[in-house]
Amino acid sequence: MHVRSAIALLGLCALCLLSRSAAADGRAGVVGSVAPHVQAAMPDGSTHELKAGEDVVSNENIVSDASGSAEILFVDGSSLRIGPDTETTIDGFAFAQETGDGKLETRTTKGLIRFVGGKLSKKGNVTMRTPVAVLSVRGGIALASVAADGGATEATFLYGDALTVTSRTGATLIITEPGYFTDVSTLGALTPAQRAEVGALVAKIAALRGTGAATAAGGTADDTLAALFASSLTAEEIRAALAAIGTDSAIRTALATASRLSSEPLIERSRVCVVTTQGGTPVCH
Amino acid sequence: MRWLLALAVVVMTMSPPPECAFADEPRQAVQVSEDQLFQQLLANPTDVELNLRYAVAAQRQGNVEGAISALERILAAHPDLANVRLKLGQLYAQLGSYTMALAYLEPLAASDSVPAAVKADAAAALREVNAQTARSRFSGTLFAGSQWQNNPGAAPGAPFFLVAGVPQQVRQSFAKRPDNDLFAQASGQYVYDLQTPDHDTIEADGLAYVSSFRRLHQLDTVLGNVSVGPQLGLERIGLLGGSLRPYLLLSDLRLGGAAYEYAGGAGFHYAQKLGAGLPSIGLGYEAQQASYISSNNFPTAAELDGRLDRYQLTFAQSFGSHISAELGTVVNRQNTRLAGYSNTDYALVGNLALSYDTAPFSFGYPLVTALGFSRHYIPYDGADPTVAPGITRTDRRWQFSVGEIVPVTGRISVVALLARDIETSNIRNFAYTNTSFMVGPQVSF
Repeated sequence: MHVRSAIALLGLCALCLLSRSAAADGRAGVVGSVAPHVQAAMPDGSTHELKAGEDVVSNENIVSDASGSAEILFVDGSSLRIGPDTETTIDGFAFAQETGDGKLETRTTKGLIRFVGGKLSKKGNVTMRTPVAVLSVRGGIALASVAADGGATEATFLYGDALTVTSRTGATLIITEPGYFTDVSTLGALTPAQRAEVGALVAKIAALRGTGAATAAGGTADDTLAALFASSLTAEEIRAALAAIGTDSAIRTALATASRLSSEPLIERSRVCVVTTQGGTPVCH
Repeated sequence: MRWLLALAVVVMTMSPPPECAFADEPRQAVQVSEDQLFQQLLANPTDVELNLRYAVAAQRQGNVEGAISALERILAAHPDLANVRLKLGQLYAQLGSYTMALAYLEPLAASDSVPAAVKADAAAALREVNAQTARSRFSGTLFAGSQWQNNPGAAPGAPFFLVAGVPQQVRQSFAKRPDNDLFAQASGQYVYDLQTPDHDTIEADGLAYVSSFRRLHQLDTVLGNVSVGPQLGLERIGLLGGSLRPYLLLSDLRLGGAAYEYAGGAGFHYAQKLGAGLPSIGLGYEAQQASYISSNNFPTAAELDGRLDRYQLTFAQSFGSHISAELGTVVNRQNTRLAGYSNTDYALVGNLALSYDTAPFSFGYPLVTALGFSRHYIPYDGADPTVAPGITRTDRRWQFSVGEIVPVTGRISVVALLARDIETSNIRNFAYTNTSFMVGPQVSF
């Protein structure tokens, strides 16, 4: 009996170790995509050209040139897109699959980055540092551009609960309205939140993709989708899949209607039912 | 009891939601969960098909950021894919990130090199976003149809009434009898966006409801109410995800072709998002001064004059993007001229709404089933000597409902609702049951 218990315990421990391997093996994530000319400097001092699919670890430094761009897909589901002329270090990463606890810290000394939140940001445990500010993302998407000269930072909140910007002087601004940004000067001065211009965002979206985005105004016909994907899906299946992604607003409208129907009867019948007498005759009103 | 059994059968036979929405896709492919797909993505992040599958699965689980991230990876490999850029614009719009949505949609709508269908869809999405971001905007619904009830007058089930404590046989004209009515409801919301970083707005909400019965014309209803007030973001005082809406309200009700009640008052509603994965809390209070007008059909209505106070606490939670639930408690205090009419209604209210993608009668949009219940405990302040001298009334009520919403287009749905009220009382005059069924089209704009 004791032997069986010990074996079971050992088995459980092995499972625990396996499930923690994502954090324990030092892997923070993988390179989701990369355009040419992005260098990685590893914690041991070695450098190499970044390749799609390779592991990314804590303290890895990633540097893109004027035509390079890359995306890091973290094991918690977060992603960090790195634009051209950008230098970013994964300062720290820890993630416990079972609890969703951990942290994600990056440090960007220049360039353009966009963070899309995963499980860690839902708990507000994502921090992006620049030379003049600390950006904390809670449950969402944020964009930051950092000037190469002095590190002046523009931080734009795109979606989520909040983007908290704390400047080097300790001044703090919390942005909760998507599409608003703040500028942090080299001296640490924060501007009030301002609405971003669409044109500025278009330029940043294009820039984040590196030179590959030069054809951003172009388009590909539906019937070539399947060939491009080189997949087992037909063009019709791809169209159906894309259509399925967009039905959520209809669902939310219907759910709201359903909730209203259930919770608020159109007319409260009971309010007109008070029985009394009218000339000796009972009346329900 | 039989009705409850029937409801249970309806719920149990509902189609379970499928895992994925790919048309004609092999079943084994749609069974793969978001987590499994993500682990595959970590091993092969550049696989375009895998990213597409993950985008679908993530979005279905309410992980819109995950879907955006996957579609962006596809664009990194194929930046010309207009369909994917259109979808990203739509997803950002869905998240309420309208400036980002415009950044994807405007170039598509202005381009001559994208497929015509994509360009048309981008233009349509652009119009939606522009409508949502306009400083001054109006939205609403129209719902009309027919309703059948087996006891719309809430007549008691017992064959005898108490009148001044003496049992009397119920006249045929006051006995339980069914009727049906035609109804129409219009609700609208006007929002003026103050365009502040705390998303402050001024809002006006209105509701109009009209019904006409086939026989029980004393229940013909004309109801209108409107509330106006600002909606203030509370981030300015450190309450992230919090908002406060103080408001003024007016309402007017006519029954049987005669004025019945008008009321005015004020209230507030505080809403607080607690964070991802946690419920949202709603806290409300409303006070109204109501005046009732006696008429031939309701000769003692004026005795109901008085103040109405309403307290509300609700918890709402979404589970993925297809299930939402709400549980709350509502206390309604009604002060009238007579203690026998004054009461406090303590209620527990719950709602569950489920959407699912495929069903035999689907028009290409997910169907939604709504289940609701409420339990009321309603003690009165004193006895009504005209009914039962010396006995203070206490009522208890169950209300159940099951509704089905069948979207025909993005804006038009067919709505059907079956509801059952079961009221018990220590005074037989007030115990009744009523079953209602309503069906009709609903248009949102």
